[in-house]
Amino acid sequence: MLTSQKAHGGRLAAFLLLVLPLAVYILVYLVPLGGIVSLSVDNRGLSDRFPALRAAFAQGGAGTADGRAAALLQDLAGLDAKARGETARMLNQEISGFRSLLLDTGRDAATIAPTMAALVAFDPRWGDPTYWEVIERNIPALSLRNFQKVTGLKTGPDGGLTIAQGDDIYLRIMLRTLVIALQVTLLTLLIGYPLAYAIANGSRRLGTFILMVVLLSFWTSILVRTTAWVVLLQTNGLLNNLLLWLGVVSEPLQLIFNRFGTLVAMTHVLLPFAVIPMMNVMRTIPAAQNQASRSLGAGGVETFLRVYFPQSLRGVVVGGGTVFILALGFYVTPALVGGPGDQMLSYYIADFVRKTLNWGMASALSVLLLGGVLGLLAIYGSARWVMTRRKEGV
Amino acid sequence: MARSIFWISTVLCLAFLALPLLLVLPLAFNTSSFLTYPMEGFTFAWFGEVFGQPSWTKAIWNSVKVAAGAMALAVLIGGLAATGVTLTGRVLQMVLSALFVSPVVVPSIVVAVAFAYAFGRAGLSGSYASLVLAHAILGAPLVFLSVLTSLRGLDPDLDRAAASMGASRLHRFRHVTLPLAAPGFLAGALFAFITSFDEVVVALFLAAPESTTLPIALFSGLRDRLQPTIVVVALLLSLVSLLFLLAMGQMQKRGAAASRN
Amino acid sequence: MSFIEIQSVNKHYGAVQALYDVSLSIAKGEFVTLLGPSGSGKTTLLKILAGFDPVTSGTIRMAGRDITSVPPERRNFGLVFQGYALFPHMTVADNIAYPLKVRRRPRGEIAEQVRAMLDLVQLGKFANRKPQELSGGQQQRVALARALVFRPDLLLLDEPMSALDKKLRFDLQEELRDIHRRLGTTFINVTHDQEEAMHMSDSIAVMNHGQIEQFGPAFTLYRQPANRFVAGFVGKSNLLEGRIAQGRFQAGDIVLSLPGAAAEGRVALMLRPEDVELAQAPVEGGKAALPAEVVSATYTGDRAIYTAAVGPEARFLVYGSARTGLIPEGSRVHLAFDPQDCLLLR
Repeated sequence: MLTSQKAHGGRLAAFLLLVLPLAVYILVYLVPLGGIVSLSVDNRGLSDRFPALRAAFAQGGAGTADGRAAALLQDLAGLDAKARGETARMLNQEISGFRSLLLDTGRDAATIAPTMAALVAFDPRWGDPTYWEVIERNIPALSLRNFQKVTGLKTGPDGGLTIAQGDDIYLRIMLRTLVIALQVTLLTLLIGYPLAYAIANGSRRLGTFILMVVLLSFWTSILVRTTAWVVLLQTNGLLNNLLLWLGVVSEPLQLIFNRFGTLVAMTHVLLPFAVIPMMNVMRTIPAAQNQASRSLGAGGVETFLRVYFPQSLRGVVVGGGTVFILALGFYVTPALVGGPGDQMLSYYIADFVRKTLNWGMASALSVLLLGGVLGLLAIYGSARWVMTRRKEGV
Repeated sequence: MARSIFWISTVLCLAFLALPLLLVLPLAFNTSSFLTYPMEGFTFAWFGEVFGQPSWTKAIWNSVKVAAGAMALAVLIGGLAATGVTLTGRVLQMVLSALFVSPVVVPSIVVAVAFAYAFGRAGLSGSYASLVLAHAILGAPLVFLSVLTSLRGLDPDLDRAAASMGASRLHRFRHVTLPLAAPGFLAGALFAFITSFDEVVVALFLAAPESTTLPIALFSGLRDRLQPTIVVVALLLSLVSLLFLLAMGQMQKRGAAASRN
Repeated sequence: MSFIEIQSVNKHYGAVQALYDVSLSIAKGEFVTLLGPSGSGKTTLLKILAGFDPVTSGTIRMAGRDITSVPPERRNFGLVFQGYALFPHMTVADNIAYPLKVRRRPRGEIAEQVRAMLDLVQLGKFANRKPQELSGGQQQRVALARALVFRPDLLLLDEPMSALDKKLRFDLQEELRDIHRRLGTTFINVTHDQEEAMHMSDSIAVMNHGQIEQFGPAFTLYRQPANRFVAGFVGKSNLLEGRIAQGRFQAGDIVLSLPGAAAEGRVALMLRPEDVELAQAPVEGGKAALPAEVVSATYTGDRAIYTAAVGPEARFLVYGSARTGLIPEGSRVHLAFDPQDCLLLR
């Protein structure tokens, strides 16, 4: 009786404590995130312009050719010139030539008799079923149109998927994003490993000092550190002046607004995220491990390779994974020190919102980026789960 | 040989980490408007310029306001969430913890787009409230983790001892648990403040000209023209980070001393 | 001919001196224990022997060769660490194979020796487990196998039993002694547990404050301690501070006749608790007798432990038989002992 009362009190308290945070998270965080997911497949921009046609298609096979023609003409007549232009542009992306067809038909919609025969007479292309299929595919309220555009995939006439030539721009940007993230990850691990090693194994004074520098760097704004690199790398900046003064080069090098600048600055900005997990793992490796290896006859280098490094790998994986995931979504640093050829996925997301207000495309790219990150986390989580299970399951 | 490898690699990597800021920040005091060495003379003139320009001072003031508001809200929801999940069962605790921590793993550009669209539809675009709400969501996971860590670190016998002396659940929470977990709340509050104060991407999408924060002003300044005032602002932001780190260090020291007694 | 020769070793850590002029000779095949309280310098001496810490001055020779500055990996000494320091990322077999691998021995030979070693420590069926999946005692045996598989010239053991419970400790001591006999390798063990030291070693070096107080077999240390520290650290003892003159020892009211004692002046009289009997009346047969009162009586099953007060200050620890029950507290008794069992310490 007493225990059940206690448990009940605990559940009530938990509920009272969690109501507010859950409400805020759902309203201010989950709903907006869900918003862009639905936005990415939201096709109301097109579908709302064809109410009659949608109704006609919804009837299925019952919709006669004349019925469809009448519905199309009714819908087109209801559009003003601007809406007609937009619609024509959107459908033209699916099949070229649709623009002129739709604009011409729309302009004269009121004068054409509502039969298929009249429509084909106005423009013989209406006799071609391809155009009707394109319309049918593109007027549902939900569509993967944005994702098709993002991946360059197109539904062919037979319903199969093909990659359209020249439409793979976002695929190439995704590939570039992955390559940059991977390069940055390798660089941070390479530079971070000695630092983490020195913190964990150097003298107390050295370790504390390096840790202070790493933490200070960690908590200094990404923007501030990027600023430092802009100042350092610009054409008449510190680094170029130094190189000129030393006589290494005779004219300033282009160090910024290219891949070099992007990689250097991103590596610097993300370095603490690699160092801290590696350091945490290295600290758990007892000094006796190295001593044991030495006493068993292995020299310093062999001890490092066979005993120390394998045990520090766990930290390398966590640090590298953290940096990779953060690098995938990086915006500020590449935007400030990268050139047009070094921009990552997030830049184009921002671009769609800020330049063309194309929320659909921005959302589709966001969903892909988010999916990639969550996928990586899921892989990492399940790998860890398997590892701990294996450790426990003797 | 191993020793020389150790020292050379340590010094080089440390230089890469530390030198950029150490080299650039002193240029805030250079008389020349060119951002390079050798320095021509020492001056505070650029600081005067920053504090004299309404665009900068407004941005500083906005940043402080937003960070303070975001911190308060983040501490409230993060603290409540952390306290609440400790009372739930194992599975629910895992699910809720994943939810409460998740904003830190979502790429900032994605949350930025999501916030911008949702707040735009809610008619909050560009408002002070939208920035506070967005930054509170970014700061709440840090408060949550920090408070949860300190709650988990408490000796459960303390609560049992209080219960054995007849203290009610509420009384125990108020007079035993909460005071002992206070350092976690304080650390979380600092995390939330600095996170908001330094945040760029979300603010970039939400801030209107009149609610521009300091990082946004710096970001547009950088894209516009490089001048010493930018280094001054960078220096000011670094000082805030340094203060934050010192405060954290001080708290840790006191925490260590308290647990030793 | 000594095998390991430690000569006048001094060790400073900054301003702190950890070892004072330590010298020790160890014969080949001997089992030696360095015994002492924490901070006595025994672990420092072990680290110096292993090659992890340089000496400040002095030399260490092995079979006549100066090895003072030879790095640890070239000393060919096995070392069993306090926490075992087994490599967590390798299986038990890989741990044991490690010293052979780094010596570039052929595969077949490695496999064969690892198997032989696993059999020696009776862990054959755990070859493919990870060390953290084994119990403390099993881990300890893996560490032992790993340190012995390459036929080291010397095996160093750094408090190898400290993490184990008492029952297990005794079994492993037996096993270790057995392995030592079978292999004939020289063993140097470090411990603060005098029972363990006496159980396993041929000779024990008792250390205190960075010096060796006495070096000898267990019997000598127990029956003939060189000084008060050894007498107190090795086994329980009753120490009575007093003066001796012409065969008469006097401490306060207590006067004892010790014929044949050569010492004169201030001394401590040592008497082991098992050399004393509690008698109801003064006993005959040349035994000394002191009237006393039982202050406390404890029954431990195998014996009775009494504290008896002789006069206002002196307290004697006495082990008696408990077969017929305890002598009640407050009883007036006589402490009876053979003066021959008394040892005078300067």
